[in-house]
Amino acid sequence: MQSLILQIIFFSSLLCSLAAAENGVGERVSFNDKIRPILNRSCVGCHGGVKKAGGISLIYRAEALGKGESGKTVIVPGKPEESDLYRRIMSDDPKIMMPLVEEGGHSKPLSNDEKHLIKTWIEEGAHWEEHWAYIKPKLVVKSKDLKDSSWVKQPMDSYILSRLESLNLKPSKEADKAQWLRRASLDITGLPPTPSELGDFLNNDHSDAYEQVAKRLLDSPRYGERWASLWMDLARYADTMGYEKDPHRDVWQYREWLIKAFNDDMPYDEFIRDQLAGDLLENPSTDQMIATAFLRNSQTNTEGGTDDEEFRIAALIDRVNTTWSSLQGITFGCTQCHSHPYEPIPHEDYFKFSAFFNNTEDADLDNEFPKFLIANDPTKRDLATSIQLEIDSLKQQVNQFGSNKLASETQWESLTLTELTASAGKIVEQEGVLNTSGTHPVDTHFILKAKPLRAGSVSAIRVSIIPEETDPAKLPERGSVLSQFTVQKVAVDGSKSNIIFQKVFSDSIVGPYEAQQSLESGRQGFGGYPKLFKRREAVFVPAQPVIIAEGDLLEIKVHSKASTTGSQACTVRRFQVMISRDPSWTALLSNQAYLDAETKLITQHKALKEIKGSYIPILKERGKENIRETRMFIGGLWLNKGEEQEMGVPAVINTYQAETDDRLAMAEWMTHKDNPLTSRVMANRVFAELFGRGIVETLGDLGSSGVKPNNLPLLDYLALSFQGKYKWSLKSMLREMVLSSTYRQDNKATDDLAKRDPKNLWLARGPRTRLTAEMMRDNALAVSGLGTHKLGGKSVMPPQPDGVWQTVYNGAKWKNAVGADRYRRSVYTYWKRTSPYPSMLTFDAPSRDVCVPQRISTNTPLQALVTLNDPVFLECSQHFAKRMVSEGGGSIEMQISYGYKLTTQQEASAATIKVLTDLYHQLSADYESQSLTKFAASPSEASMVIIANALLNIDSAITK
Amino acid sequence: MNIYEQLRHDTAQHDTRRQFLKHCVAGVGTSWLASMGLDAAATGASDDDKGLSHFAPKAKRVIFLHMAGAPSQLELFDHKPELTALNGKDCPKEFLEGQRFAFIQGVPKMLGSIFPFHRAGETQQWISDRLPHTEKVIDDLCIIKSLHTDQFNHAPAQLLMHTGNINLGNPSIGSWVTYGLGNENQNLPGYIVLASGGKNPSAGKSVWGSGFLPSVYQGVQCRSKGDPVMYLSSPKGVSSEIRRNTMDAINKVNQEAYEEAKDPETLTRISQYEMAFRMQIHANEAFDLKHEPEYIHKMYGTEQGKESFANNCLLARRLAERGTRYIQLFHWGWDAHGAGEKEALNGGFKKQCKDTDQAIYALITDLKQRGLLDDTLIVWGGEFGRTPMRENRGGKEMKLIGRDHNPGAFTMWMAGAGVKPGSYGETDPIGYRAVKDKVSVQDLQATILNRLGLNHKQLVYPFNGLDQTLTGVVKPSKVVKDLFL
Repeated sequence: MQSLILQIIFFSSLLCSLAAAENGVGERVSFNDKIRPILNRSCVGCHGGVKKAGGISLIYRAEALGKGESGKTVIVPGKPEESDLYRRIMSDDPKIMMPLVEEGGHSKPLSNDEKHLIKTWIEEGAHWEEHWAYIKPKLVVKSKDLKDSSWVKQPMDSYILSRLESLNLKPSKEADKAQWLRRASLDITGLPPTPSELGDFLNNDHSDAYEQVAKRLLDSPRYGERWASLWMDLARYADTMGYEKDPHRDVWQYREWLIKAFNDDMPYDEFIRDQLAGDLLENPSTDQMIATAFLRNSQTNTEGGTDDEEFRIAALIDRVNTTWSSLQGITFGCTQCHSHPYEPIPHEDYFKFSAFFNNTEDADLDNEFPKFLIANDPTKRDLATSIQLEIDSLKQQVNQFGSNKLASETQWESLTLTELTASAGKIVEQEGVLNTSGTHPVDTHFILKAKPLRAGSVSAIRVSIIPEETDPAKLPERGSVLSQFTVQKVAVDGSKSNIIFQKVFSDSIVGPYEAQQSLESGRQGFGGYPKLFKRREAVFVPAQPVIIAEGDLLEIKVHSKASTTGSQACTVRRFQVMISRDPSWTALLSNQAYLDAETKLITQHKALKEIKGSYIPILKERGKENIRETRMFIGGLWLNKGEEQEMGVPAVINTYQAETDDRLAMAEWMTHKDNPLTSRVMANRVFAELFGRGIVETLGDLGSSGVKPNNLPLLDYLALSFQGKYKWSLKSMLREMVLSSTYRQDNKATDDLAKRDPKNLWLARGPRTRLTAEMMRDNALAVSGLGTHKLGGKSVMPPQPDGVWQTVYNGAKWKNAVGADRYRRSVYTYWKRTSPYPSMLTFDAPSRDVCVPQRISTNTPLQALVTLNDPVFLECSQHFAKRMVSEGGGSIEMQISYGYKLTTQQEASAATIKVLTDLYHQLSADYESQSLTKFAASPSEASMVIIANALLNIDSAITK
Repeated sequence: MNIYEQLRHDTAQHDTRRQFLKHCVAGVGTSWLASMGLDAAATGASDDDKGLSHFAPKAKRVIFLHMAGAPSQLELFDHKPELTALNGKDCPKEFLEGQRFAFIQGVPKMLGSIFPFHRAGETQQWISDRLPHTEKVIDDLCIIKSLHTDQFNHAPAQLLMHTGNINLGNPSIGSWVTYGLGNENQNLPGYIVLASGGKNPSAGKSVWGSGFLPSVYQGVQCRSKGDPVMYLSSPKGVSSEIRRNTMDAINKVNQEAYEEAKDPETLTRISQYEMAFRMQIHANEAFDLKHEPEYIHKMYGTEQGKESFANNCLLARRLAERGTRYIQLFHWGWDAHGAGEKEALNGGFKKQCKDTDQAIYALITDLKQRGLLDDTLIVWGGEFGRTPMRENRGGKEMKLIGRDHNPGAFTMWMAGAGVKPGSYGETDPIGYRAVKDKVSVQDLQATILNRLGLNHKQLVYPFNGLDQTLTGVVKPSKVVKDLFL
């Protein structure tokens, strides 16, 4: 035990000396390195962004230099003795001293060293530094300071070596070629090398043999499948909508797009721009429309009786949090409820940012409106896209003929209401507005008998749906839909005639229903659905003016049939009906430009009907006329609304003053060359995939509460190369990493290294990590020869135990795939949020309910049960055994060493071969005597199946 | 350094992930060393294994009987004569203004309890005629009538009940507990979930997920049909002896890998394979109801080979005996809206009562006769309550009788682990709102943790820049000490 303690002391003193070396003697006390950690640990819990006890906050310098409620100045630069902060940390009076140590206090007193540091820091002027992650990466050249640079193969190596030299560590020897090939193949393509790939590489003596392999792997279509898996955790990709019923969702085209984007090495800035705002680009392509499903992967709640607005907001919040944790690596979610406790991000900023996403059409509807048709026939995809975009634009054009007129028309005339009937509840008139009350079930209608003020012709009837709520902070209210609008003229003799309307114009086009449908029975029409956000107006125009004789009445029927989940009726509750006599309404219907637009619209609708495909959820803006107000949620609670907020990004990450007036501009702000986070976050994530740990270990938190980078110059070099010389090419960055000397090191630790750096923090040896959940199964399929290589397509259902799927109110069934679909790569496995594929879950795949920026790798007995007993692994073992026998050679030893090589790419040691051969013979004897072999035709075959299964379970087969 | 010393070294490591996995690794390491014939105490790895109780616990384990779908408190425990008097009358306006309902629209009618109530036991608590067996152990129950929540849909309310949060992605209380206390039995998972009623709960597996805690802490759903733990059984044709020999071979090869690469994960893997082997033996035994005598089956009303709440109650007792830390039962089918025969108070509700009443009585009685009730906390209840108004879905009177969701008041009970028999808290005269001694879901969670010796404010895990807790910071939470003896 004593020696262990010594080692720990030795190791930590190494760290200290390293820190001292970085700080440099005679330099100023670094705020970021020395002071902020003390403040974050001991002060900002009470004096931070959330609580500002005593009116004091230590997040911003300006505040820290100000006065608290006591009237004393917290920090006076240059004068510790006059700074209340210093006075209090030095005091031993329990009423004055900070941090509070009495009950209810959170911290221990500061150490003498820390007190001294703070004193010096104030003396030096109390200089504040922005947290490193908010400052643009800067390139520090390390190569010239190296004692021996011959080890450096790639620029990144100099950063690793520089760190190793400062720690007095030496890099390990180069890994044997097979070890590197296994690691590179699994890291880049997610699959192990085949025997021939291994043979080719071992026999390739060219000086660029490694480069050739790197190119082959990066060019392989398997590359896109492996990296899409990673992105699918961030994008919380799933084949179901989530929540209670968790019904199916068609969105596999998004996965296909991801695979293609990775395979095409789409520049990362475009890659994220299209996902955040592809729909707002000029003439977006099919791919750009599909990419926006990134944000639509949030959940939709179809549970009966749920409030669609509540879950629209939940999806909005999910999108904001996903964007920040996946793309910016900041725990922005904290600011939903309060200012960030550690970061200089105020509470308002959460809502300013959410405003970018708050005006999309989707509204938690069961049918997931709006969706976009993706043609099955790849040659028709672009056609379908252009037709759909054209239809949207034509609808606007057509409606504008009426909406422009509606906005300028002032001659609306009220009617004298003579009789009001309600099919349920009550209806009364107040100053020309109709108010209803009582219980209104679905299918409620009101009939108004109305008398025009005078005889003559009527050219249009206007219906206004008016919110009952007058306080804008309390809107929206329950949906309100005029499903069917019919008007009859009642002559003095009682005879009735229907008024035939030709066209319905509305103030604007928004929501899933079209105003024109108010003329059809069995459809939903004009209004606000699923919520009413503001006053809506529609004009019903008859083909010919209606001639009203003296004494004629109008019998107007307002019928509502729309409802949201759980039969919550969306009735018209407060409305007004007026008429116009302006003949230009009638004339409008024969306006040639209007007629042309209508004709085109009909043609395009017909053309779209001809195209077969599937509809996927995408982003679509509601347009300027229907902008939803974004308000603060006080305390993060959506029903508790505060001030209205304009779109914007946190100032601390926009020192470069990018314009951010819509979602597309926001995406451009994020991919701007001066954004300090975007390239760092991705470079760090890719590094972690290959080296087992991020340079910043918390991949989703580069903020001041995350783990500090263990090699910031390396991170900055990678981030700058990624966006600079590599022009956002992921493949180029990966190429540098896999060809680096760092990556090419042997991953075996010497005793000394294992003691000094057990977790391989400093990379003085090659990485050794467990296969991911997807790789576990894909590797078994590949090794057994069962794996199939179809690229893209719908999700498939490989076998899983019976009875895993049990979701309330959902008849969906898991049907084990047969044929090639059974053996497709795990990235294609059907993903049900409330019941994900069990074996992948066991190997740390997240459920994908929300964005998971990082999988935490675990090592559990349940994992052993999967690889030992899962029928999928048994089936692989059966095929693997056959392969060992048929390809391995004549003797059992040869077959076993062949199998070992297939699963590990290494030669088995004599000891291993003996252990497994002994096991084989023992098994054969057992099976001879039992004759109980359910999974094989003969005792020898059964024995080899067990050996094959053992080979899929050994540590070297599970790690790379 | 040999591998045993290495393991000791490893246990002493305190970097991020190792801290996260501290209990898991130490526990496993200990058992692995023990299996190698070494004394755990001598290795220095045993301290963590005792878990992290903040103070002396009253309960070593929890059995949570979640009645998914939310049973009506007004038909079971919350006796409201004034509501009966209002039966059939229009609901007064003041109860409707500003309220959000799942299905009720406009002005519904009031609905008195459709079943008669009476007082029972020495504690003289009210109970309806639907639970004649539970009535026999009513003096063991601490009935809390003043629960309230802020969620009125099943999935979010269930998430709130079990994870303290309405959003997905947070650890469930069983994960928190096993993270805090570790596992008593190294041969079985520490957190086991059993579901009956033909469906999983509305919020799916997230209600027993580990959220941002490492996945080792997620609940393991065990089934009463097929393998109790998924993938537990060896393939047909692989005997336990063959499995043992195979394991030995795998571990030998892995030891060689360790000697070569010195990867501490390899060591952990060796011990996890050992545990998997033991689990194969012990879990199958634990889940095999054949070992129970006939009188026990009669007492619970079990039917072997079927999936039932009674079977799960008996399994819960067997798991409690074996030291499983957190046993979570779900029984689906209480969502009595009146929209269909199965979901009506005058229909399926009666069967739900019958299907659970006897088994609950048996569980309490059985634990008591084995001396286990003293350190086992049983919790019973749904995710919210039901309205005192009769549901009128779509604004129309429905054929069958049902009640809508009511977050304002519901009844739960606890038993065992030093809770005080009797009633606690009150609702208003119609049972619509908790009014006296209100208990929030967060309070309930804090109280459960307290019984286990855990302080809900100290049981933390660093994530997203915060020390996360089960009960969170948005709503205040307190331990309801009045519930304790």
